[in-house]
Amino acid sequence: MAKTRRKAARRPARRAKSKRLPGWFRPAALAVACTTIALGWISAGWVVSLDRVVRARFEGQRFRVPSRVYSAPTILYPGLDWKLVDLEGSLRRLGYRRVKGTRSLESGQYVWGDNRVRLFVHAFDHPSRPEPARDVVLRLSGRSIEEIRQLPSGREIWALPLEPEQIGAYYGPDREQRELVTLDEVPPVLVDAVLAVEDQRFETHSGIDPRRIAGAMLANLRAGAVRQGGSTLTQQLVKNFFLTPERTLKRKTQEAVMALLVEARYEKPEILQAYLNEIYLGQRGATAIHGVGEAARVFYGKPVRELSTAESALIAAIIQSPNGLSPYRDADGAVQRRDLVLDLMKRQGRIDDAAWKAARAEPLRLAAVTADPGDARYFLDLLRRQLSAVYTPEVLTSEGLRVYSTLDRRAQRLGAIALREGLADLEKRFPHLATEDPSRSLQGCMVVMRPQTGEILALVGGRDYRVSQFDRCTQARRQTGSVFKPFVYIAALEPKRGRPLLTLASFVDDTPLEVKTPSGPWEPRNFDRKFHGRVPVREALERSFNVATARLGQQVGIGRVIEVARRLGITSRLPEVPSLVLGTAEVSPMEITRAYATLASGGVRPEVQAIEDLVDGVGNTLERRRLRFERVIDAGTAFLATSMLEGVAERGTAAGVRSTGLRGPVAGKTGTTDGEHDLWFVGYTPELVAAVWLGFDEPRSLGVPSSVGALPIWRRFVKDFTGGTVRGVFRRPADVERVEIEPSTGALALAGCPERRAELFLAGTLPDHTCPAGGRGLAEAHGDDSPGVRSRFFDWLRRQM
Amino acid sequence: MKGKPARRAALTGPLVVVSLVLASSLGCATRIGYRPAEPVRISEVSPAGDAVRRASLRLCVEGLRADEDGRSARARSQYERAIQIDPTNPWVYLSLARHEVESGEPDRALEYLQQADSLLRAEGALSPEVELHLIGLRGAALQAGGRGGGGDLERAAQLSPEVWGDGRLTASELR
Repeated sequence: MAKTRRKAARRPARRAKSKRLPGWFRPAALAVACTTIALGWISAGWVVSLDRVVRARFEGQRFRVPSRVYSAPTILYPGLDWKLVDLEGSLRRLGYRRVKGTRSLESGQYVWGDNRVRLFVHAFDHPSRPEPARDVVLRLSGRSIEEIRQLPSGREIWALPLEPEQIGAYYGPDREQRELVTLDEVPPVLVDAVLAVEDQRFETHSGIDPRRIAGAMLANLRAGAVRQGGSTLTQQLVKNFFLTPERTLKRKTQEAVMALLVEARYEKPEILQAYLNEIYLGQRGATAIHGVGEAARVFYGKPVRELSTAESALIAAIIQSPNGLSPYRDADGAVQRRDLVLDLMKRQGRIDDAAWKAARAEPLRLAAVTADPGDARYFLDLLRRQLSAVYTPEVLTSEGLRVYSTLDRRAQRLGAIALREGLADLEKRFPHLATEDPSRSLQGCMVVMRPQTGEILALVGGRDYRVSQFDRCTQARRQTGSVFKPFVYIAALEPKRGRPLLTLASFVDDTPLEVKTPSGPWEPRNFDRKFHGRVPVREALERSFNVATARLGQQVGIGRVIEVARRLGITSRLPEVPSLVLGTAEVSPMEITRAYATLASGGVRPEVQAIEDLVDGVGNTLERRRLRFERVIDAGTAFLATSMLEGVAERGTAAGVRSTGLRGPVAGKTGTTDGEHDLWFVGYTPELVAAVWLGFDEPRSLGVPSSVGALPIWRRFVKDFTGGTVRGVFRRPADVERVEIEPSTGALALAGCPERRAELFLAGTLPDHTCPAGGRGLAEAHGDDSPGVRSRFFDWLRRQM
Repeated sequence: MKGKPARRAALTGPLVVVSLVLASSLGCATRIGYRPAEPVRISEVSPAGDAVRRASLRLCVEGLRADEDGRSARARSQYERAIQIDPTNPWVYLSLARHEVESGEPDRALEYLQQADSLLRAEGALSPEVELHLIGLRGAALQAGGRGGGGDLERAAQLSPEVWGDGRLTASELR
């Protein structure tokens, strides 16, 4: 009863209260509550989705880092011709800076004196062949490096590798270039400089800095324009990582929320490191420079850890407007802005007075702008094709692999110049070769290889990469013409079950020949439309007689010629037809180069190499090259072939090789295909082999022989690369004998023989007949009834001696 | 009066005898039981005034030193640089062959030996003191690859028990 009374007493009071509120209040309150809850849910969902975005980026792969490709290093050693290797040019391209005075050098600086160069070599990071930064002095004597000593110890250095030069990179669609650095590698002074100018309360704020925002608003109001940003470093990172640069309220809100999320989830050092790697610092050509690591390389040519206070301040200074404040565009403006940063650092107590003074006094010393590596782009494409067999394009463009290649930067540059200028010269001399349309112009390619190892030193796949990316040295297959002929002679010179078909004292027939083929008779003709009768085998190759070679091919067998070509390294299809011996098969210049490399290395065929090793983004070696060789021709036969090809370069179709004074051993062969559609010259020295091909992509006659078209390009390259004197000798193996013969008969010249010249023979293949005995056997000349026995005995005796 | 042919005929006999004696002694020395005086060491190879070869040889010696200290990657890198400077230097390929045998890569070792052999022959530097190492390394590589090689190792040990007695060529022995 009492309970009922109490309830009744309360009811009038509540009624009284509801009477005081308007009628709409209840539904309005409900609506507000519902809206708030809904907005809360939506906001929470939005924040959660932003958080997911933040985590995905921060915990996944944060940066796309292009893979970089490097050349082989330049190695300095006593005796090296420093002018020939363009030492100062190499230093400049590597970002070394020439300074005056010799008291103390910093890494990356050099002093060039009259007969000495003092150089502080950069450190080179590599998992298996790191090189320390070191102060060295090179004593010069004329064009030669006399000695290299380390300072201050004075220890002699036998060989000093400079770090490899970057020749290119594999970018993603954004073409961002970035060298990732850890916070440990970044000098504290650079961090201070960045914080001083971009976010001085970074350590204490939680993603957004109200004081900075207020200050920026005030400054902008005073200026009547947007002069100052209020974003913290975290906000800038968020903006670059996740958002577009538009200035809308929605974007700014997103930025602020994401900045708070980033700060809530991650530690300050982690955020700072991400910022230092992400920040945009300008353009280099079509490539965007991101991060302080890359900027240190581009601006100063050194690793970030070696930046000075002034250099750090300059990088921090240009963050606000990387292109407008670029030191390459406006050096004075950049220095002024740098000094402002230094002042700020001093004011904030980040540097002391002495450091401030020293940094302000430091002149701007920028690394030289390195030339666009465009001339190595065919090589880069070749590497990409090779690498893509193992690595996806995504990996290649984003995981920061370092590809150390075999490319010789100097050979590449000289090869590109020789080809470009050689083609231009040819068009000038023969105007019918010039075309208006660059995409249809006369083309060419050049490949240079180290014969003993198969390393590609240079690859110029075409006239202009910008016009055509088709690599004519590795992707094209063209008729080879006479550069195929040496394979025929090798097949004939090579002993197979006893005596070979030919020796270098033999003669071949250059008389009319008709070969029956399923498609009718084949009658080869010589270039000069004449027949030359019985000619010495050397002359047949030196003058590139087609008929003699075709007949020899018939004698030795086309199958055997193909087998020799295969052994030497030709992999393209070789049709078993009589005309094959004159080079009608289509083969790539790279294959031909390898085949000639096998001859240059004494019959040992190398595997073609373009990569030394491959290192991943964190410094693990993924792959190491493996030099591979196989003896495919005996050294003696290879030497005889080389000797014949030396004759081609001395007296034959390639005699022009010496016309500009190139000295030293050179062997090679010209090749001009039917209708002069393709011009070739493949030549070698003991240490390099190079092939030049010229022609139109849609074959048409050039109307000039290869000795006029391809050979001068080869000659220019080799002369420039070697300095005019080729090193080394083609050494005669022990099983090759040098004896005198009577030239007109090929008989062994004895005392009394009126004419004689030296000739080379494989052991056991000396001529049976002698001069003056007039072509009869040696034993017969001595009245012996069994000529072969005595001949063989002397043969054997010579071998033992 | 004896004519020239007669004089030549008279000389032929003694010449043949002398030649036979010389040839057989050479054969005995090089092929049957000759023991090289001292196996070759790369630090003692003369570069013959060639700066390129000198630098390459010194890098090769540095590589051997690194191999001695167990710095295999460094050693390899020195050998590769030595080849870059002078690709015709047979001693580097010989050192690389030794390095590969020790690294358990017998097939690679055999390929390097092939190149070393080719270049040594071309240079006329294939003396018994060098051939000893080629034989020994080939034996060691073949044995490591499970393809015999015992005969070669035995021969190398006979020719130089001090170096090849234990069936291997250390970096310091080659240096």
